Amino acid sequence: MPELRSPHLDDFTLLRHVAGDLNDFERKVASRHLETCAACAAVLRQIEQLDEEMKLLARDARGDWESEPGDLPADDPFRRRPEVTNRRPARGTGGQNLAALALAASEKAGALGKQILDATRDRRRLVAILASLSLSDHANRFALLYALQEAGRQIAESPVRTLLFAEEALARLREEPAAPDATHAEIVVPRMTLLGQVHLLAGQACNWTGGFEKAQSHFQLAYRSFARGGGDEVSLALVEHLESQRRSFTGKGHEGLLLARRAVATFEALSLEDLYARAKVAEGNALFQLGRQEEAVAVYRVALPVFERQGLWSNYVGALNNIGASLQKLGRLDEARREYARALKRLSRERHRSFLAFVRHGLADVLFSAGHYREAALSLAQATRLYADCGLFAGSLAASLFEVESWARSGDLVRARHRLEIFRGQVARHGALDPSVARQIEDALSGNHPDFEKITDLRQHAKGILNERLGATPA
Amino acid sequence: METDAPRTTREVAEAVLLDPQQRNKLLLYAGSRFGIGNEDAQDLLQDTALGLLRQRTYVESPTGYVFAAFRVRCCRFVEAHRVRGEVFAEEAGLSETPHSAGPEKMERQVALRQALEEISLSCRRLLAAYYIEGRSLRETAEAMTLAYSGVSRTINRCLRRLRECLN
Repeated sequence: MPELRSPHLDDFTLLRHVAGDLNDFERKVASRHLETCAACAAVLRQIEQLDEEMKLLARDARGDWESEPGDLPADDPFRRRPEVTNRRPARGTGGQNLAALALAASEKAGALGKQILDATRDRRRLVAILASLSLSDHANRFALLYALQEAGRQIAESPVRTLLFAEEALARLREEPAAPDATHAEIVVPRMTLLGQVHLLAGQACNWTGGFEKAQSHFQLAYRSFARGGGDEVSLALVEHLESQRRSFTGKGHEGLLLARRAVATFEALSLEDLYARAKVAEGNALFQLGRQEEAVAVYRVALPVFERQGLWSNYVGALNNIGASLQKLGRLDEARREYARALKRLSRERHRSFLAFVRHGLADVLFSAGHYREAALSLAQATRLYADCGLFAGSLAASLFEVESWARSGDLVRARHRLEIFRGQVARHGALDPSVARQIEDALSGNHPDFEKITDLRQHAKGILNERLGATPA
Repeated sequence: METDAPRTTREVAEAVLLDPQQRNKLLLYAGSRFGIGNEDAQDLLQDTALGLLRQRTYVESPTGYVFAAFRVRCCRFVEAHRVRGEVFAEEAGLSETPHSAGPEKMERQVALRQALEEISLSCRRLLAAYYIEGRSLRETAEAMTLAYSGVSRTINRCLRRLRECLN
């Protein structure tokens, strides 16, 4: 006798099944049928997908984002991407001509953009070159835009100089009278886009120098300006990425996470691998700030191979050190060591000496935080030499002083004092530090019970001075 | 364009702005996938190419970027111009979609919105009551005085239409 089978389930029943809307009897019948009917099970999967999409759509329709625990506050300017102001292209009025002009201008702008960037090293030259730029010329607009973008990418070299560039460019743009929307220059590179880029750069520089309140207002202005300039997705996502960093730095990891993920989604959708990886690091930083170290490690690890593939070693080392710090917090020191060991194998002593120094320094940080002072001291000794070989004297002296503290904390006071002597000689040679600082450290090291807290304070103080006088040292 | 060897930003922008063959491919895509008219698609194409020139500092793969950026612009265009305010408009005020989803997701949402416009009003109300107001499907169907047997045929047809538009 053939087995009796219940009839196929219709779509509405399946939707009610997904919604948990069936009574006990209906649910049992449906579940039993689904176990044996592949066709209905397949439809069920489609209904589940539909249900998910409908929920997303309904959430938009309700506008109930504030009820979601994962959303930004209702009055937050970054709660949603700003409304894009649609700009009508020069349709039918010389469209071909506009295209040719834009292509030629972009091409010509490359060299001028580099000149502008070079001029940022000398304020007077910068002011002069900006004053000479006629912004009714398409190529000049492109050149300024490219210089601003490139300055953002090179910000680690000198955040202060970058901020100065942004301020001067802002002053220049404020002098420029608003052009009618229909001019070709305004269509090709809208003034609002330039303004957005300037505020983005200023905000980025403020993030680096710790001016978080100023950064906040710059990012808000950047967001608004980019929207008025046509709402380019890349630009808006860049603002979100940097605002995410600002929020994580200021203890708002949850908000930072939301913004970072928004930026990540955009860069991923546009296949911008490099920006995607950078935004992933911002996502990791937000998770780190929230104490979600496990997730942070996973996110940083997504970024690491991208930086390696693209030879973005500065970003690579940054992400690596973040992984090390997260793993150390998770108590997985051996895993952190393995991560550093892999990185050391990837970096060449000839081509990546400075990055090797940063890696050694990062490894020492992790070991020091875990109480492995002797190993930290050994790693710092190598970092000191590598920095010096590259002419990074601030880094070399900072690592050397850190080595002194590490030997002291390891109990090897003889070696700590010996390294301090060498440090004093280096400081004297570079005239980099008031001799009294080294004397105070020597006092703190004296006797059988050194004052470690004082040594740490003095080391941090000395690092600040070295940064100021000789250039940036690693964070 | 997708199968071409990697090209420079200038070459890709030039193709998008001036090469009729490449332009037609993308215009056809905008028309067939999103139902965007030729003039609007041309505007979007020009915006995309100018966007590429503006963002060239950040773009490593211009060919991939142009296609992805054009697709995103098409999605945004459809959302902003054709669908906004129409779906669920009777049941609740429609706000904008956050501009953060990937293109695949956006395409699905656009397709779903379009399909929702085409299904019966009673089914749309039923879905709105469930998804927006949080009411139960069964109770809503009863409250709408639609006996299960009577409503099921229409609802089943509508649901089939909706799930098919996602695949």
